[in-house]
Amino acid sequence: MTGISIQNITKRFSHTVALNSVSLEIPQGSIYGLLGPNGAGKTTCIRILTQILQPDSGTITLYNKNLEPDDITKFGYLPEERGLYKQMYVGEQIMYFASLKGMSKIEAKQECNFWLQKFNIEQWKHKKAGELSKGMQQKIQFICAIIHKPEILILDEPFSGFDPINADIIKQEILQLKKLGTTIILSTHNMNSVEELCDSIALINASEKIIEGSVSAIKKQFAKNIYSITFSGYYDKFLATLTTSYKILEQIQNNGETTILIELTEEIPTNNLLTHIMTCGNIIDFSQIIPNMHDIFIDVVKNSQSTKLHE
Amino acid sequence: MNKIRLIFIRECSVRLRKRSYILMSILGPLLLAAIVVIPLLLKKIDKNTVKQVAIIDETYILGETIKNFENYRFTIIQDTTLEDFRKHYKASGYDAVVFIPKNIYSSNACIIYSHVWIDNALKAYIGYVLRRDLEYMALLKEKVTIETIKRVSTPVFVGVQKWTKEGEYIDEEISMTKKSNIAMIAAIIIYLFVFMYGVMVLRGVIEEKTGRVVEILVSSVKPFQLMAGKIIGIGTVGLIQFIVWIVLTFSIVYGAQVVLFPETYTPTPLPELQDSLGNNNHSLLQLQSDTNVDYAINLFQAIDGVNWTIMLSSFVFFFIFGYLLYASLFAAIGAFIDNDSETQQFVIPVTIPLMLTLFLLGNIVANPSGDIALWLSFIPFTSPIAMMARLPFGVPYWHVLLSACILILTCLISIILSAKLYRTGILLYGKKIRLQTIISILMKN
Repeated sequence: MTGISIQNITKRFSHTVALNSVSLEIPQGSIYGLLGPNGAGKTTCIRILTQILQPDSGTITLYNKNLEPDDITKFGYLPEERGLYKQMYVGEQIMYFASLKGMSKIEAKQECNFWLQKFNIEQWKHKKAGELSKGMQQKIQFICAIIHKPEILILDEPFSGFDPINADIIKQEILQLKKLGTTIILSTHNMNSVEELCDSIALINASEKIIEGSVSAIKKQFAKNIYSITFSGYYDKFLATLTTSYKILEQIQNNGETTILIELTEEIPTNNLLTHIMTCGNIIDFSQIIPNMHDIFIDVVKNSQSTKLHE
Repeated sequence: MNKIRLIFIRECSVRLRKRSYILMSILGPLLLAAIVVIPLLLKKIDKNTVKQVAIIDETYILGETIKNFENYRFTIIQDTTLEDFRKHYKASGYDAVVFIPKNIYSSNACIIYSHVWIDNALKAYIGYVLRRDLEYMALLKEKVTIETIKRVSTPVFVGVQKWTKEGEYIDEEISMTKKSNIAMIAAIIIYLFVFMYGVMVLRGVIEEKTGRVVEILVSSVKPFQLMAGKIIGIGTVGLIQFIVWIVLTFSIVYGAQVVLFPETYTPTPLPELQDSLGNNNHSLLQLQSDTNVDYAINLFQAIDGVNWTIMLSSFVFFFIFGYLLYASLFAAIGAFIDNDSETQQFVIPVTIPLMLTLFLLGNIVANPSGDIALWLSFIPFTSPIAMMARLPFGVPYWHVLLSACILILTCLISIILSAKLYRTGILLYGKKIRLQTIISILMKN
């Protein structure tokens, strides 16, 4: 079910087009990756979603209803450029942000204590934010974004500034929130996180959406016919009898076993390829090389830029 | 409204418990009270110290009429010249010497020599006695008898009685000097508070922007709510500090008056003049009017005679709206500033009208109904100070009303325009402020 639907959003700043008729479908209860190079328009898109900015045209619906100003309390937002009031006490600060999101004082206090305990930082409750380390401050900012149990959580580079251990803690929390039904929009340049966490993604480049879909579908879409095959048998016969055109990218022979990286320029069913290998020897290992998100990102952005240049 | 309230509470609570705020709330009144009390205290200490003054009288007559005055004790030194006395001055133990030269009849001048500061009261007293005696002598030369001189000697006291345009008397007890003092103080305090708390709004906005808190905030509240909560919060903190200053200053001054000056202080009249003046002591004050001590005395006495209800209510009005006007401008400017170092260059142009009014304060007080005072009290950027400076002298109601209306209207326009700039500015980083950008933001919507 679609949680948020963005339809043909356009936003201009003076003579610059920040978003050009962008449409996105964000499934409810999923983790949605918003990807794109710097200056692509991700932050503008997020600011429109959080109602910090108003679009010049286009519509946004939340659960099939137009996004209203009161919906602001349903959103949690951790911006990329984030900070805390240095002179304010940690506990006081969390409760202040919670109250701005409409939580009662009692509720905010309970949740504040819960999260501080969960992150094992309750001893910092009465310290000023300026006295905390950067990582510690990041945790407080994360708590501020999720304390009011938002239905939609927008995280812009949530792992920046965290060491691997704390990044993992935050990752687990994000997965936990997803389990509880929170729709999470994750904007990051960390492609490993995208692969680990995201169910679907959209890639924005130069103010326009380039691709959108589930991570597995996109990977499949960008997968080339490259296979890694290890077998023992008649290598020459295998190549001579292969009916489709091909390109050997890599070849290693070791103790009678041959490992090749082969790209088939024509698409043939995988089963046919397997059957053909079996006639030439014993299969030891067989896998299709699926591109990772990092490669897809670079490919798509480069293609998009060269297309624009040609236009 | 609820969100404005939350922001308001945060702004108040954070600032009210700041050490610097608490310190200034205590030190401010102490300093203000010190300005009033210390000169009086010094005067009191000074009064208790007897000063010996020698008189070298080359006329052998004029020095005789100089009697002991306040803490000054006079001794006529016979058979010595000024030059001899000067050589033995240290050994003589005198604090000063009044030299009356024999050519005083033509030069009309005498000189007081001293190693210590000679206060104006002594100069005024010696001047008064010698002038009177020289006049007496001149008249006696013209065959006018002492009795006649005393009979015709008529000091004139010029009083000022205020009345309305319709000619109805207005009961006013405060002298012009006192009014000027009150006007000056009220105008300076309003300048200080508008400037101090306006700049605090600017710094608050910059703190949120550079501290990168603002984006989290505007995802929860509207920028206007954020700006309004901040301005109202800081303004309230300022008003509280002002009330604390007034209450503490008055308490300290009155406390000091009770403890240090049990009898309400009145300047000692010049002995020779007292009889002839009767109750019209005002002219005595005029003799001493330029001294710092008298400034303090006037201030001290003024506290008793002012209609504080009108002054304070006007102060609160002009403080609130003057502050709102400047705070909204500062908020808009702060939204476009990325770092603290840029602050100063933007603060100065905005505060030029305030500073200009402060420079012209002397003119306003000297001529509160003049053109400068009139126009400055109508221009909204200068009226909070100028009108406060005019008010103690009595201002037609329609002037106050018109000034207040213009100020309120300008405030509303300023808040609306500043909110537009603020909304856009807080999310802009690393961009130079151009007039063109500001105009295009203001023209949008």
